[in-house]
Amino acid sequence: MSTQPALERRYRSLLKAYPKAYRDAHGEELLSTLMEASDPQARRPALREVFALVTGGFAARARNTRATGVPWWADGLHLGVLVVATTTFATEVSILRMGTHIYLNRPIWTLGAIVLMVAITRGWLRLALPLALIAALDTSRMLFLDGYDHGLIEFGPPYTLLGQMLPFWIIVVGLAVLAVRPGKALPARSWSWLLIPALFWVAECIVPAFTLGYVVPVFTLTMTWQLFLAGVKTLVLGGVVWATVAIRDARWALAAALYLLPGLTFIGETMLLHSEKTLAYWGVLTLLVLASFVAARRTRQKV
Amino acid sequence: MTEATYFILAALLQEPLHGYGIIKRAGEQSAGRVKLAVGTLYGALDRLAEAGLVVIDHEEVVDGRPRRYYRITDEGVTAVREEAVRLQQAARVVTVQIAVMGA
Repeated sequence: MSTQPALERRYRSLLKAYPKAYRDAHGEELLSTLMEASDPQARRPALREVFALVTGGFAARARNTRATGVPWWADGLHLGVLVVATTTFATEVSILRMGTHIYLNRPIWTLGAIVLMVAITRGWLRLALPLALIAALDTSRMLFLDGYDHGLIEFGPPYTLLGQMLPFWIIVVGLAVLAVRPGKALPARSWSWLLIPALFWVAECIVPAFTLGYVVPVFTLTMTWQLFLAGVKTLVLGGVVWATVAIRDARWALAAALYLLPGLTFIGETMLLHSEKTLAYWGVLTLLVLASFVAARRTRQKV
Repeated sequence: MTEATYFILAALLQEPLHGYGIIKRAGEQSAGRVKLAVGTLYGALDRLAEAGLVVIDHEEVVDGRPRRYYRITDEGVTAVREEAVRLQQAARVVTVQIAVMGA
């Protein structure tokens, strides 16, 4: 009995590592070459071919995220602003769960955050910039007021540390630079970016751990959650190094640096409160971002 | 330029080739040292096409399967020639000294 159909089926599964647009354009051609290059008696793909297809698929996906007709730095800045906005608002919208009841702590803030994230995702700078400025001024109100009620409308949380306010100002400055940039308008990004805050908010609705972390049985869950997040961030920044090697410019490195900046500022401001493990963890994240810039520089002219 | 890229461009110097043709030719020309995986080959071809060093020459269907033939461009010939000269100069640094020592 021929082993070819089983092998072809497995190769087709592996080709799912590539983005759909790439598969539509090159999928049958790749499959044709894979079948020609395979041992006629093989039922399973060779391990080196599996590895090459998975890494090749990831590289194709990374290349697929590039905006056409936009310089790398503008694309990276847009990505960075989007990453900072989605990850910040994922945790800066308070959803409280008391028993079976779920409360939204700041409804206007939440609505504004959703509109802002949609505007950034779609590249609507004229809508995003004023909203981002309001959020930045609002969260930084303790800087220029003394913290008491001055008759201002207070939409969001009042922050006292620079590291907490910085994400909002990074969004403002990033959007302002993109708004005054000459050339082609920014393209819309995938809606899937909005899954970042959506998943966090769903998790807050399901598990009361994030807001009621002082409850003893929940403490372990919170620690597990923090460890999980630390693992995800490390993996994602490792992925940024890899993506940078694949696309050979610093757009993802720039986005990652913007993401990391508020966290590093916060750690710097509160250095004495953190354990050595936490500092080592942030050191690893910083090294990964630096490695991305180095990778971009080293592979820039290489084909 | 990576070794794989160098041998892919070198394989296309004589005539346009399809994916498996490039794998075979690169293997022969490198005396079996370069064994391109298909995923690696197409990643390199994407980059080379993006840099304008190769283009698609023509397509055909063989046994119901599509084949796309790639052709090296003038820029590609220049790039691989420059790389060959660079490698030759690097090799000469060693071979000349070894020849002197041998003498």
